[in-house]
Amino acid sequence: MSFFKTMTAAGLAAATLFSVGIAMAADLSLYSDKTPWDAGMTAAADIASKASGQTIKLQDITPSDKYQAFMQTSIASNNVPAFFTWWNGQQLNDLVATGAAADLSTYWDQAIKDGNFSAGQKDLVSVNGKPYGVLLNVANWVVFYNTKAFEKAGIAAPPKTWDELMADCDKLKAAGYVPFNAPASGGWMPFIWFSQLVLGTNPDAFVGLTSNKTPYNGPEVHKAFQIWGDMYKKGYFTDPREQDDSKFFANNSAAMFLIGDWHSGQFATMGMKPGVDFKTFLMPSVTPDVPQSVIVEASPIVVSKAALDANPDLGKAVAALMSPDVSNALGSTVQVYNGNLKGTPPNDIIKADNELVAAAKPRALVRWWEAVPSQIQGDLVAQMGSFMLNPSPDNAEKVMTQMQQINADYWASK
Amino acid sequence: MATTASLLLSPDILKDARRRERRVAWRQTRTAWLFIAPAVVMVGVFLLLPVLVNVILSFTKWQKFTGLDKFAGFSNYQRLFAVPYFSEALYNTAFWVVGAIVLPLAVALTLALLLRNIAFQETFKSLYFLPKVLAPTAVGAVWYYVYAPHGVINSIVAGVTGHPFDFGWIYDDNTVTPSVIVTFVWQTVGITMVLLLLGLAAIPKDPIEAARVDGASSGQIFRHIVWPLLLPTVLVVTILNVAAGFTTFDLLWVMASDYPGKRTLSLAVYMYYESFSNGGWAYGSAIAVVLGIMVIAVSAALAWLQSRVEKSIR
Amino acid sequence: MPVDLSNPAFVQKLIAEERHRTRPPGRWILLPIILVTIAYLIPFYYLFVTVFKTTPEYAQKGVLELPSSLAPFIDNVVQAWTIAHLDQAGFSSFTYALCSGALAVAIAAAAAFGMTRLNLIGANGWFMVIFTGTLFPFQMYLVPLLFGYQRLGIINTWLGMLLLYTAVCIPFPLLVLRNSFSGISREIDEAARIEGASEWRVFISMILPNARGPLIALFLLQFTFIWNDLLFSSILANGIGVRSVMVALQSLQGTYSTLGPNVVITATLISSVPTVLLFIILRKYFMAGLQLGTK
Repeated sequence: MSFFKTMTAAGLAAATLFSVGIAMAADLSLYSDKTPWDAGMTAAADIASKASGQTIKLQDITPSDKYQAFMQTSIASNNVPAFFTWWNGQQLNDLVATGAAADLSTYWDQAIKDGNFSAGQKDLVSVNGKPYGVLLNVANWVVFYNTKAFEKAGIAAPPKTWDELMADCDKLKAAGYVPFNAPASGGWMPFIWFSQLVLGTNPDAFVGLTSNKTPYNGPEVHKAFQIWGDMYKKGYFTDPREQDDSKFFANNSAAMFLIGDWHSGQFATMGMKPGVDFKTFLMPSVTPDVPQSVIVEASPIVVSKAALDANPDLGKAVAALMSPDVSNALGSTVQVYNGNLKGTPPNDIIKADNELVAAAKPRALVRWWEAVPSQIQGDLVAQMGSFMLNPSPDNAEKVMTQMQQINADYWASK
Repeated sequence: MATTASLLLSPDILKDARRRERRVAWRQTRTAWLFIAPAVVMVGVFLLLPVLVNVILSFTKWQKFTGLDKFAGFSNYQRLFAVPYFSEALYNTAFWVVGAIVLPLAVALTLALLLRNIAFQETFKSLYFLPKVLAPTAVGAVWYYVYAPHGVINSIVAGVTGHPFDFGWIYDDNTVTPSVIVTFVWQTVGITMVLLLLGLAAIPKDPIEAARVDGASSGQIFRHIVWPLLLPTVLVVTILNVAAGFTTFDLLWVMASDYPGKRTLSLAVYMYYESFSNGGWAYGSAIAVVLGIMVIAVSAALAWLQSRVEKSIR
Repeated sequence: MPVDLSNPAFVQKLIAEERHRTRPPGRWILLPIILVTIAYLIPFYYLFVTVFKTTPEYAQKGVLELPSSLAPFIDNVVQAWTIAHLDQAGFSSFTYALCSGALAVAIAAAAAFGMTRLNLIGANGWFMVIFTGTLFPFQMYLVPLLFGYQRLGIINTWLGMLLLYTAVCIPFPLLVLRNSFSGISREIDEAARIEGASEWRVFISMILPNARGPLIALFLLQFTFIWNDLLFSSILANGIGVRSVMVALQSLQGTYSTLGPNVVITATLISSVPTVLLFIILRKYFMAGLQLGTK
C-alpha cells in the first residue's frame, strides 16, 4: 500500500470526522454524571426536545470528579452546555457566582402556580432567593432495613429512639446479621455516618461545620467520633473495604443501610422488592432531647444562561422539565423522584418516606456534601475514610486534628 | 565533481558551478522543510506549546471557575512547599523511582543470567514480555483483585497457613506503595529482561574465556568483565524505567482507587487530583512543572552518564 | 595451576572445564526458572479462572478455584460489552490506534527523510526541537490541552484525539527512523536523482521499502501505546462515543459498579485481545522494535 495513498486516506478520514464533529456539536446537550439514571435522563431529554422543537441529547461523563473538571473548563472557556446536572448548596453558590447559570424565577413561579412544586422546594435550588435550577432528584436520607432480618431478630417495629436502635443492633447481631452496611467506597460514602452522628447529637453544630463555626476537632465532633468508634468496636458495621456498596445489604448479610431513598431503585434491580423485602425508617436522633432532623438531598439540572438567552425556545424545554410527564418518566424508568407534587412517586418506599417526613415534620438540612466548600470536600472525606479503615481512638484524634487543619487552612486563605 | 572540473575549467565557470550547487542545496533545504513541516507543526502545537502554557498557568490564580486572568507570582510554588501533601507525594515518588530502577533490574538480571543458555528461550522471553503489551489499566484492574481482602494473595496465604487472612494490601498505609510497585515490576520485568539478554549476547566471549583460563570464579568474571560491558544496556533500561517511575499514573489510579490517601501516592497522581478533582488548575500546573523539572534533570544526568560509559568502553 | 600449555594435565583440565561449561544447563537450573515462571503466571491463571464464573459463584468459591462450567463466559462477555459500551469504545480506540499510529509513523518517516537524505540546514537543531517533545512528562500537557480543546470545541471529538495521539507518537519513530535512514546507502537516492526523480518519488519508492522492518515495528509499538492509553482519553475525550477502551474499562470500576469481579475481569480480557493478538502474530517485529529503541 503506497504511503502516499495512506496519507491521503488518513487526511480524508480526518476531514470527515471533523465535519461529523462539527455536526454533532450543533445539537444541544444535557450533561450528566449520574450514569445509573441514563434511561431516565434520556426520557426527560426527549420530552424536553419535543416541547421545545430542539434536539437535546444526553451526554455522560463519569465519575463525578471528571465531570466537574469538564464543567469547570467549559465555563472558563465560555463553552457552557445548555443543560447539565449539578449539586445544590455551596456548589451551586460557586456556580452562580460565575454568571453561567440562568435565573429560572419565571419558570418556578409558573410551576408553583400550577401546583407542580412548592415554594419550599424552590428554596432547595435557590441562591440569594432566586432559583437557578430545576429539580432532578429530591431524596430523603433514611435507614433501609431488611424486613426478614428484623423478623428473624424479633424486632416488631422500627426503632423510634437511639437506645431502641442500639438494642435492635444487638438483637440483629445475635440473629447473625451485621447491623449496618457501611462501605467507604466511591470517594464520598465515608461522610454519611460522620454527618449523621454529628447531626444526631447537635444539629446546630452540624450546620456550623461547613461555615467555620464548629471546629472539626471540637467537643461536638469528638462526641460523634466516640459513638462511631464504639459502634465499630461492637461490630455494628460491615467491612468498609467492600467496593460494591449494595452487596452486603442485597445478599442479606447486613440488615440496615443508611442512604438516600433514591437507592431503592438500585435494590429493586438487584431483586429486592420495595416495601416487601425492605422498608425504611427515619434515623432517630442520638441524644433524646435533640429534635428529629432529616437530611434532604436535592440535585438540580442547571440551564446555561447563554444558551437560554440565545435560544428562547429552550424556555419551553425548561417548563417541560418541571412538568409531571418528566417526573413520571424519571420515576418509571429509574425510580428517581424529582419532587413534583403532581407526579406519581416511583415506588412504595418513596411514597412512604414522603408520608413519614410529612408526618414527623423534621427539620430539613442540606447534606454535608453540598454544604462543604468543594476545595476541601475530597480531603475531608478522605480523612473520614481513613478512620473507617482504622476506627481506633488514637486514629480518631489524628483524623480530627488533620480535618481541622485542612478546614482552618481553607478559611484562612479566603 | 568540482575538484576535477577545477583542473580543466576557468574561474568564471567554477564560480557558476558553485552558485548552482548552492542553489541546489537551497532548493533541497526548501524541499526538506516540506518533509519536516508536519512533524514540526504537530509536535510544536500539541507537545511544546502546552508545556509553555503550563508554565504560564502555574503563575496564575486559576482555581475552579475563576482566576485565569489573575497573576499570582510564585504563590502556587510557595504553597507547594508549605503543604504536607506535596512532601508526602514527593517521598512516595522518590520511593517509586528507586524501586522502578532497582527492582526490575535485579529481578530481570537474575532471570537473564538464568535464561541465557536455556532451551525454549524464545518461549520464556515471549511469556515474560506479554504483560508489557497489556495496558497498565488492565493490569491494574486484575491486580486490584489479586490484592483484594478476599483476593488471590490472601487466599494463597490462608490456604498455606490454614487461617483466614484478609489483610488489606492496598488499604494499609505501609503496604500500598510497595504493592503497586510489585505490580509494576511484574509488568516491566519482561522488557527489561529481553533488553538485558540482548546486552549479554553482545558481550564478546574472548575476555571471559581468558579469565576462566586464568582461574577466575564466576562471581569475579561477572563483576569485572560482564557488568562493565553490560553497563550501557543497564543505563538504557534505567532511563526507560526512571521516566516510568516518575510518571506512573494508570496503575496507581486503578489499583489504589479505594485508598483514602491515594492523592499523595505519587506526584503524578497528586497533580491529577489537584487539577481535575479539586479544580486547582494553577496549583496543579505548578506541580506538573516541578515534576517536569525533576524528570528532565534525572534523565539528562543518566544520558550524560551513559555517553561517558560508552566512551570509556571504546 | 599456573598457565602452562605444555603441561598435559593442565590442558586436560582446561578441556574438561570447557566441556563442563559448554554443556547445556542441567535440569537443576530449570527448576527455579519454572517456579518463578509459575508465580509470575498466577495473575493469568486467576484471569482465566474468573471469566468463567458467575457473580454468585465468584463470591462463594475461593478465588483460585476452577469454575464449574464454561457457560457463564458468554453472559459475562455480554454484560461487560453492553454496560461498558465496549463496542463503541473498542471502535474508537481502534480508529485512534490505526489512524494515528500510521499517520505518526508516516510523518516521522517524512521528517527523518528530510533530515538525513536532504541537505537540511540545521538538521540536528530541528531534530532536537522535535525530540524535546518526549522529554516532558505527560502531566505537563494535560491542563493546557484540556483548556485549549475546550476553547476550540474539539473536546470529546475523534478529531481531537487523533490529532493528539498523532503528535505524541511522532518523536520516538523519528528518533529510530533517523538512525535507520542514515544507514541506507546513499547511492540509491543519488541514482534516482540523476534519473530525474523528484524527492517525493525517492522517498516513496527508494527509501521506504528499505526500511520496512523498522516501519512496521514502530507502527506496532505506537498502535499498542495508543490502544493502552488511559490518561489522555479520560481527560480529553470522555464521552461514550469517543472514549478509549481503557477509559471504558476503568468506568466499570467506578462508584456505581454493582458488577462482580468476574465481569470486570472479562472486560479486561476483551479489551486486551487486540494487542495480545498483534503480539502473538507479529512477535518478531515487536522484539525488533525493542532493539531499535535501545540504539
